[in-house]
Parts: sequence; structure tokens; C-alpha cells
Amino acid sequence: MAAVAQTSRFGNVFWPVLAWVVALVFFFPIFWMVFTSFKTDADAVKPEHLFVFKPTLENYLNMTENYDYWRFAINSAITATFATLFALAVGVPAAYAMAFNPSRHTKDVLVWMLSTKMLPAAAVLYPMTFLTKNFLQIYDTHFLIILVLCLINLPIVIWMLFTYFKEIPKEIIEAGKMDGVSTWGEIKDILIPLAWGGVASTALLCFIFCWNEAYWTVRLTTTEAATLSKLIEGNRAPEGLFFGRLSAVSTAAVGPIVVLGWFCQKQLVRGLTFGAVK
Amino acid sequence: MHRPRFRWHIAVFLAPAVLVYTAVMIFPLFNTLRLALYSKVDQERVFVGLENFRTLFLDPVWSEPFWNALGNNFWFFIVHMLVQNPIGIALAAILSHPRLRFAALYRSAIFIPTILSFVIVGFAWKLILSPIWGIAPSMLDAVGMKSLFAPWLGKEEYALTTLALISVWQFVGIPMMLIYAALLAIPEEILEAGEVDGITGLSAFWKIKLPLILPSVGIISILTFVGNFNAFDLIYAAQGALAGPDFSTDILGTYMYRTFFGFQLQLGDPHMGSAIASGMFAIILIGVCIYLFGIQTRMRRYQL
Repeated sequence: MAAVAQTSRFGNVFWPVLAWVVALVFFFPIFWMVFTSFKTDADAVKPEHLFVFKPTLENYLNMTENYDYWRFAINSAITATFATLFALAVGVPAAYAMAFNPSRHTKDVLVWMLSTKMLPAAAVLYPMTFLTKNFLQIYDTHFLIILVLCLINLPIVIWMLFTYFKEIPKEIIEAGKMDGVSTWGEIKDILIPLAWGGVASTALLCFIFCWNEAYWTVRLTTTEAATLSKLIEGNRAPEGLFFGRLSAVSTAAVGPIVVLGWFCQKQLVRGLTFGAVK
Repeated sequence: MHRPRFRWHIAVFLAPAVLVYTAVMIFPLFNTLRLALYSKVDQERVFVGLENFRTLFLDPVWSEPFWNALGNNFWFFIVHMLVQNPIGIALAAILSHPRLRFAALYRSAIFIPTILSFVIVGFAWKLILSPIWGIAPSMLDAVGMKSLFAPWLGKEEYALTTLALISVWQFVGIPMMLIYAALLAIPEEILEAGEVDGITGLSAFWKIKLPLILPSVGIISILTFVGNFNAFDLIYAAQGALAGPDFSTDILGTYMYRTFFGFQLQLGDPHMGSAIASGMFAIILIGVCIYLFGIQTRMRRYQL
């Protein structure tokens, strides 16, 4: 008996301490970036000011002046919002059709959409650049970025909505049908209210992915539709020179998303693992 | 039973998703696969069949960087399998400890890097690892181990492993969450039955929990595989398209990118680039098929 009590006491101290250490180690790089953002550019690279320094907000206050932060932030917000709305507009009917009227080909459609996730994005970049720049002439427009963001997230959006819709008993929808509710009514008055949480999480997830997207937004924009990813990517060159202000603008670029992500990790995991985790 | 009437609105609902998707995503994909079968001879596009692949595998100018990139890519994958997934499982086991308080807080701290974009990750780690301005040398100095420091991202022998570990840091949250969910799903009765037989603590983990979560381990393995062989952004963000030093961090993604768009004095070659892309696609497809038909079906037997 005594041995059991001892091990559990040891466990009571050991596991929390271990968990703390691991969490701190993992969080450190992000903490450090935020920490550095309160140093002046000169202090940021001086070893003697590693931990002791005079904190300043100057990097944040000069963000607009130094980097034109808001222009990029607004572009990010516009493209992510509209891409999410469009993805939902196309995704909800598609997921509805697959969840409540499954046919032999439902699985095929889902796999068909996910299959492009297996392909390196770099492989379609060449035809895409050519198509948008020389042929359609929509390169570096909000429209293009919204379209691309919407499309790359569409498989996950549909897949997620599909898993959420699947959880709703079919009978409820059938009952609506019996009462002569139109298909549009079924979606609007029965499905959406019931699956509200799922739709909201999907939208949030899509928004986060859009905001973070760095591959296409960096390569398909120059100035007009450039997002925060482009801003950070474009300013990483002068190493060591502007560590303070770069940290500030990076923090400002991911801040909103980290806060959002913190609150919806469960949905994020569901999306990142294609619904394998409920 | 009468066959249900074909419902037109269902087709109408599905059409936008499928059509738009096919036009904008699948079409370029097939275009890429098609380009791989052509070549440019005297400014004229000619069909060459599988000639590009022969060049890629056998012509030393192409095959040497290709095998280098493929080898590096495998190493990148192995580091993830040996470090990321075991750590993820261990973290999940710690966090699912019933008496651990604030588990949600720890989970969030570990999961947050997954939400960051590659450009931010590259920058955050440069702040730490930069040999002159980073914090790593000073921190090692403070504990008297400065001699251990090396410019990890700048040395051929360390750079790839360092990048793989950064990627592990970024994505360990995914296996952790997956396994965490799987561990919580194990019915209490099974563990209690084990306890009655005297199986507790670590041995309960090895003998009862681990076999039960094997299907989830399978899922994280295949997700890791697909993610790693599609990897590109992190290497590009940290080392640029040349995947320095001296191509030691070159993986298939960066090699393909350079081939497509050219670098320094060499012109881009969309046909060879497409050949590499098709190769990557084939590798991933083979991996996924092995998993789906070889491993998953066998693992079903043990599923709860």
C-alpha cells in the first residue's frame, strides 16, 4: 500500500512539472519573437540586452510607417473573409447533397477533392502563373487571391461540413421533407440551425487557413493584393538589421490568428486530420 | 422497393463545387502531368513520351540532384517518424494523465505553432539560431556549453536535420491531438480490467493503450508521409530556393521549384519540372496505397 501511495505522490509532482517544462520549451520561440518585438532594433541584437532592456512600444507605433502594415492587414482580412464566404456558399450545398442524399459516387467525389491535397502545390504553380498572368490577366488582384484561397480550402471545408452534417439524424431532414419544406428551406431552416456549431467552426478554420496561406499569396501577388504573408516574406532579407521591428510586425501578423486558433483547436485538429479526430 | 427518383437539385448542388474545382485545380494538375511527356526542341514543343523521366533518372546532370533530393526527403521523413511521432505520442500520454491539471493550457501551448505560417516560423527560428544575433549562442554560453554551438543552419552536415527538427516543432501538435483523442476514447472498463490483473502505469500504456491506438498511429504516419514529401515552404522560407548550404537541404519540392522556374543562370524547364512533379505524385500515391491496402486493412482487426 505504501508503495502505491509513494508512486502517486511522485507522479503528482513529476507529471505537472514535466508538462510545464515541455509546454514552455515549445512555446519559447513564439514567446521570444513577442519578447523581441518590445526591444529597439539596436537592443535586439546585443547579447548584453538579451533579457535586460528598456521595453518600448516604438516598433508597434511605427509599424504603419515602416511597413505599411494596415494595407497588408486589410488585404489579408478582405481576401480571407470573402474566400471563406465563397467556400461556404459552395461547400454547404455540396456537403448537404453528399450527407443526406448519398449515392454510390459520394465517396469518389470526396476522395477526388482530397486527392489534390496529395499533389505538391509547387506542381500546379507553373500552369497557374501562366494562366493568370498571360492569359486571364488577373494576376495580383484580390479576385484571384480570393478564388485561389477559396479553392485550396474547399476540399477541407466540404469534408468538414460533411462530417458535421453526418452527425445530424437523417430523420429530422426527412420529417421536414414530409411537411413539404423546399430544399432551400431544409438547408436554411433545419440544417443550418442544427449544424450551426459545425458551420461556424468550419468557417473559422477556413479563415485561419486563408490568413496563414503563404505559398500562393506570396507568388501570385506583387503589390495590389499583397497580404501579410507577403509582407513578412518580402522583409526577411536584411538579417539582424531590423530584428525588433520585424518581430513586432510578425507578432501583429499572427496575433489575431493565434488568439482565434487558441479557442478552436479542436476544430483545427479535425480539419488538419480530415475529420479523423472528432 | 421503388428506386428513388433522381433528384436534380442534388446534382445542381454538387455541380459548382465539382466543376469549379475540376476546372481550376484538376486541370492544371493534368496539365502538369501532360507537360512531363513533352520537351522543347528548337522552340517547338514535341512529344517525347517517357524520355524526360529517362533523363531524370539516368543523365547525371539531372539524376545526381534528383537522388540527392530524394535521399534528403527520406531523411526528412525519417526524422519526423522517429522524433515527431514518438514525442507526440508521449505528450498525449502525459496530457491524458487523469490527475494532470491545466491539461488544456499545455495542449494549447504545444499546438499553437501548428497554426503559424511558414514565413513566421522561419523568422522566429532565425531569431534563435542566427550565429551572430540569435539567442542560442548566448544561452548556451550562460550554462557554459558555448562550445556546443554551431551555425546549425549553415553547416552541410546539420542543416537538413535542424530544419527537420524545426518542422517537428511546428507539427508535433497534430499527432499529439490525434493520439490524445484516441487515448481518451479507450473505455474505462478495459483499463480497469487491466488493473485487476495488475497491469498499471507504464506497462498499462505499452500493453493495453498502445495496441489500441495503433490505428491512429497509422493515420499520423500516412499524414506525416504525405506532408513530408510535399514539403517545400519551410526549406524555401529558411534556406531559399537553392536549399543551401551546397544543396544539403534540397528536397523534392525545392528541386522541382528550381527546375520549373530556373535559378541563377539556368533557365526554367517546365517539362523537366513536370517530370519531377509527376515523380513526387507517384511516390505519394504509392505510399498512400501501401497504407490503405496493406496496413489499414490489417489494423482494422484490432480496432475497438
